[in-house]
Amino acid sequence: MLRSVPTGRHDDPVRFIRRTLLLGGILLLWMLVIIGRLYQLQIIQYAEWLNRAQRQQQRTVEISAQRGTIFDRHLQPLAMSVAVDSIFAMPIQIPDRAMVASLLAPILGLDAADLNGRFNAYKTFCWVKRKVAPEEAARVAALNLAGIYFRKEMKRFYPKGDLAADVLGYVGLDDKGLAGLEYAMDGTIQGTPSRWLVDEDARRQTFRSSEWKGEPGKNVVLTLDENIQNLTQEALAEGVKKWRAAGGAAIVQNPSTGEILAMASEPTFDPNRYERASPPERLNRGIAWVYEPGSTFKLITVAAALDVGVARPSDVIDCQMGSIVLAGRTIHDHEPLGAVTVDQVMVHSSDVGAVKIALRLGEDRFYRYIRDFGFGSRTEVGLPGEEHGLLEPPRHWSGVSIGELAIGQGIGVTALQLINAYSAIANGGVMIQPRIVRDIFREGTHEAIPPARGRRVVSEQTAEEMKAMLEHVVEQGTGRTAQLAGYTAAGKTGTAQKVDPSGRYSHTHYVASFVGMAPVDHPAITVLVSVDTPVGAYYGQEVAAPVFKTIAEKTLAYLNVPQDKSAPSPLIASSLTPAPSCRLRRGKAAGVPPSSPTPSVAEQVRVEAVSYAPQEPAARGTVMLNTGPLVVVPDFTGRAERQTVNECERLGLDLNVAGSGLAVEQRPPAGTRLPAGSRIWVRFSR
Amino acid sequence: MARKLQPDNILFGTVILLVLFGTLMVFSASAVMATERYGHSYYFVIRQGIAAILGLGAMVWLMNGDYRRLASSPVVFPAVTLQLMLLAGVLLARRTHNAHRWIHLGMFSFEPSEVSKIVLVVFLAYFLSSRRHAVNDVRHTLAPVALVAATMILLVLSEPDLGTSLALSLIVVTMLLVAGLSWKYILGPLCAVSPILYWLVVHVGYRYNRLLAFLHPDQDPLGKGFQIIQSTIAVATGGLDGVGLMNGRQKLFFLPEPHNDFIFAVVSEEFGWLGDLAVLTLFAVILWRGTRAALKCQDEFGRLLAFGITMMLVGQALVNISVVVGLMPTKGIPLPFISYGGSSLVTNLVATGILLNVSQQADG
Repeated sequence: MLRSVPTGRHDDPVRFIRRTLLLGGILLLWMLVIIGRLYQLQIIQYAEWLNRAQRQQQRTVEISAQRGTIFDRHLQPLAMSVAVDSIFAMPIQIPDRAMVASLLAPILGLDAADLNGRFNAYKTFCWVKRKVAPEEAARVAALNLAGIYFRKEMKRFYPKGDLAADVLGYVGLDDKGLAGLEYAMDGTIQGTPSRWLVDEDARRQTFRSSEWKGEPGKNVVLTLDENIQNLTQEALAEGVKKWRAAGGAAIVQNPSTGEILAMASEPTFDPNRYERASPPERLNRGIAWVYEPGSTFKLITVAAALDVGVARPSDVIDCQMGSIVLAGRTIHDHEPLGAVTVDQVMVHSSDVGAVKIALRLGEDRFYRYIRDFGFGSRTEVGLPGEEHGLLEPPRHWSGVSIGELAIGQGIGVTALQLINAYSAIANGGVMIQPRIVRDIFREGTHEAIPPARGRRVVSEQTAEEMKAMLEHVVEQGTGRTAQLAGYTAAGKTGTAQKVDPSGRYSHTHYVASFVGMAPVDHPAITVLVSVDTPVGAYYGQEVAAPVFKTIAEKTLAYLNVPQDKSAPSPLIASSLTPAPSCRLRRGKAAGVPPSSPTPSVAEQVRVEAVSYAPQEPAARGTVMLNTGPLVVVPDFTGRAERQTVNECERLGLDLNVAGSGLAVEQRPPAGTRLPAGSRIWVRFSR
Repeated sequence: MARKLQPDNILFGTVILLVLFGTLMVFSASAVMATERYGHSYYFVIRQGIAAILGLGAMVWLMNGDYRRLASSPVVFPAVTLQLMLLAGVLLARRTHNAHRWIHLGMFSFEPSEVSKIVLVVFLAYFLSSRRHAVNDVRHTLAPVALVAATMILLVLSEPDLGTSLALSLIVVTMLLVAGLSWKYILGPLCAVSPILYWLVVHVGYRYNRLLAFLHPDQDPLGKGFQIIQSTIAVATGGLDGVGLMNGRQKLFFLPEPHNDFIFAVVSEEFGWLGDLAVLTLFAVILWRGTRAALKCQDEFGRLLAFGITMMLVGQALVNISVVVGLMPTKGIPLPFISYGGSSLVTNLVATGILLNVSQQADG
């Protein structure tokens, strides 16, 4: 019966076997293809896929290292980092974003709609507010909201407020230096950030992490002296305010080491709130302001002439009763002089005399000296934004150029260039590169600071002759207002007309300057004061010289420089002694030993690298103390940060700061008696 | 059958190994997700374990029975009818995961489409063996087969479960082939079905997207290409010997369904190329023992049964793995014995029990 079925007869298992083996073989082949594909993915392309996997599975979180502290030359902190809270959100974990936004906004002073918008825009992570005040953080923490987190971040704190703000600069939210030394030395101060390699799942939840330890930033010790900086800033601010000036610069330098003891710039700002500062406030006029030096530049004209021997101080110059015509331009003196000595040309600041002296020099030699004195190029003091100034080479000069340059016109200088030129004269003709960084250290390891190199600009004799002339200026001439009580001084005034926007010299806008040194025999300091656009008076002797006097007198007294002039009036003497300050009693300190001889006229001057223990914690606490072994803790409530810092410093208490604004809490409480050097904790808030 | 039969220890051992390994992998792949969803990490592995015990019991019971008892109309036709009813019923059940696939029975839910595979195999083995002299008889053989198979496939397809319906189609075609179907009936309908298949794929949005994603995953790495990219990353990062059990990262919500359709990606990541080779070898052993049983078997029903079951197990495994390694567009096919899913595991173990029975009887 079976055989009668005509079709599909299953005669024998041969076909079954054949087809079974065929299909089985296909499956086997398929397996081999899969194995090959797996080999391709897992062995050949392993690395590139691993890379791709890590990109989605891992995230590197950088945690900024603690920035180094910036100290003044006596290790008073000028810029330090303190830990504060930052608040961030992981919006996907927030059940009701609009509600959370409306809860947080009033506490943190944010806009609720804006915050909610950010929550919706950044699902996995967004900052709510960074570096908040402690009580803001506490109030947010008390809400105990899902998806809202805290992270400690370092906030830069400038305990002295605007002190040396233009030099220090400031630090942005992400702990990067944005201006000043904070910017220029960011690589040194910032340290190496710690890196967390975080493993994450697809929902950005972290489940494992590994850390690469970074290194904290290095501490920087500046050549600035907090007290000199402070008195310089105050004196400049007072002068600028008195003459309702647009601004000004003042620099105090140690001529024998090139160290800058103070660099002030008006207007200035509080780097704790740098974001509120205007660009003019942020400008460091010491290095980034280019102006015509005016008569202060006659120093270079005369020094060059003496040095090459085309003039001697006693040579007589005919000042032509106050006018000279040079290549069609008439240059006038403010006071007509007849035939006077070179010395008197300086004393009376005769433009005509200076022009005639420059003409004796000739363009090329004059230009070479200008360059040698450092004009037209940066001093490379290490501050960002330093200007070259403006100086054309002789091939671009017109017939009148040499005459203009002789009296400090047609050239742009920075305050630092100018004071450094005066310092070279003060230093016996050897110019030293100015410096502002004294030491860099971390945990007792100091970085080698190359010794300052000196360069002879003029002969020692020329320098001494110039000093004498400058002293005469102060004693008899335009610089009489700069006479110091108890100290001899030498210096030069300058009153330069500013160039107005039309390119002509303005009759209302001046820069009034005074640059000088004291005491004359062995100058301990050189001081520059330049005031931009004073109103009501514009002569250097009227506007800038009194500021010089204030700064120089206070600084010399502070540095314990022995007086070299007899009988200062008692009135002046009392004003000379700065208010008793703990730092003064420390004895150490004065960066410029009063008796230090002016470094030799050797071609190169080596300045010893500083070597001392950083911090000096013991000394800091105990030596400052002069009221006995125990200190009564004052009530800081309601006081500003700076006040509190100063007070603690006065008492010799080790202050730990939290937050910013006004003091709201302190430990231990007011009235507690503590040994000096004890730690005290004060919380501030706005 | 009075004499004591020698069980196929190789096949038995292989399947036990796969089930144990699968349970372990379900734990590894699901622990974190289970903790997050259900609060304890053992949620999935406990369910899988219960299914494995049930399935293994059924397997041993069937292994020691006689498969020939299945070859009777009172067994096969009610089973097919019940199966079709269940498939139809599931369409009326409530939707979960955007599909009608499950029938919920208290704590457990079961997937009729998984069971349909073994029902279809038994039905085809029975029907084709009974029509073994007239396999190519269109009216009396092919038409009834086509009717039952098509109904079943269409019901599964409308769940929608393209993966299982393709697996069912694969079973039908391969079993017909070995039963002696003339090639013309294979190639003819293939030509006829292709346009329909094309339409089904291209005009059902998500399938077309899956296909495009398969061809160009990087065009939309966070959207349509996401699954295939994440799965490829998991496989590739396994390297030669893997990152170690439980250490896989891609199962942490990067992989879709890491304990289910993409469990082989977890296996690959944690055990590497060597581990994959081992798993494929185990399936190759099933292919070898299954084919051997089919070839040795003396009766047509047993042959077709053994062959069909082998195809069902190994074919599904290869399709699943091909999807995971990016050789095929994404489907919804679990990896036999390893993927999480009670219905699938029990069905596969029942099938294996039958295969073991055929195998030992053929040897005996």
